[in-house]
Amino acid sequence: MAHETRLIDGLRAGSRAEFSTLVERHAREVYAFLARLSGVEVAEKLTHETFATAWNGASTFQTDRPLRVWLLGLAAKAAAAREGFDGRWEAAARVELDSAGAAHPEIPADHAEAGRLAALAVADLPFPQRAALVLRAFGGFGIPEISATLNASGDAVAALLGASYLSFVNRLEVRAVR
Amino acid sequence: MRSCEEFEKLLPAYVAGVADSADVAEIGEHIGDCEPCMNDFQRVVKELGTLKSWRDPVPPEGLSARILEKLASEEERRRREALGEETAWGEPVQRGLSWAVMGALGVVMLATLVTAQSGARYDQQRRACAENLRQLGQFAVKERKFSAPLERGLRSDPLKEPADSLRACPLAEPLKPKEWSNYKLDLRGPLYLAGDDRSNHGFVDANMLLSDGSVITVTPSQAGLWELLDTYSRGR
Repeated sequence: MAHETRLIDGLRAGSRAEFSTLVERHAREVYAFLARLSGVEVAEKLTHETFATAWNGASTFQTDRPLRVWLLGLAAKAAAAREGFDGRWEAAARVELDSAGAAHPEIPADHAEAGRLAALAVADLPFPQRAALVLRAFGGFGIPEISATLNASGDAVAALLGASYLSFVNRLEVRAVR
Repeated sequence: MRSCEEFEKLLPAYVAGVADSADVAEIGEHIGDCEPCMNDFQRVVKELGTLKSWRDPVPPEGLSARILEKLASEEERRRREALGEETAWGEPVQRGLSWAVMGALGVVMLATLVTAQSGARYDQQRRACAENLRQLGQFAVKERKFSAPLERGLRSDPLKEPADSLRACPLAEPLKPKEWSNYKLDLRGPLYLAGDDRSNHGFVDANMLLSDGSVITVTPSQAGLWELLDTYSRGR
């Protein structure tokens, strides 16, 4: 963690060199997160927006959270703004769970095809559910980290995750039938 | 007692490890006793497994470099906008004004901009500084007496935030020759650009926008800056 502390100190002091290090270290993950969240077509643009916000707000970075959580939070905000989500996570979490998929078709054995179906099913999810699921499934975040990243309550995140995984399964089944 | 249909809705969260802790034991117990729900459980495990088949999106080559380049150019654009009134210096360039002069002026200009306080007072000071710097530049061009060596050449050190105590604008008031000594003192203090210590304290380098659109990064020569101001003073 010593190197992260140095990095944070440098960022808060406005060091370009440390900011370059930040970009080198985290651009790949931020890009992958945004590509999964909003699509590869806009991922680079949103990644740039994320780091621009990071550079402009580095001096106010709160050291009580990991850089990764901070950056992915900025990325989620950039993606939310693009999709017109107003940041009301609690309201978004108050949804009835979808009924289970009826068809239960076979999931393709082919790895690439299965991955493609998963991507399409995730893309079908409402933005708040998608953000929570991507952070959980691909970022390895638990509810507290997702809560800190999205600036949402733990209850809202838990509800969003429950809804998102069920919705994902239902949409995957619908996709697999087609 | 929940129905199988209700359990089925909870299975994805259960498999993903995000089910409410109060539900976990009940779900586990139920699927252990209910064959249809066990089948559903196995199906959901398989379905959520497809997420692992979604390969990591690979960023396009050179992404990091493009991000840094774009940020630098955006900063430069903002700087140009802030220095809008100074970009009309076509004459100095046409006359072959040395980059050293422009660089030294740029350092003062940028340092002034960076260190000035925010808000209306800052804007007022910035405008006053810009005007004084413009006068300095015009004089330097007219007299062609100025030849400031940029002793430390081009560098790319980051521009550091000056300490709060250095936030001041020494050239905010109209320049008057008789008050030269005051400016000398001011420059020694707030901007830390002069003196024997060549570390420059808060300011390591600066980008200077030339009127032809090109940008140079200079490290200020303190001696050079003094020479500029000295020349200006004698000329007035």
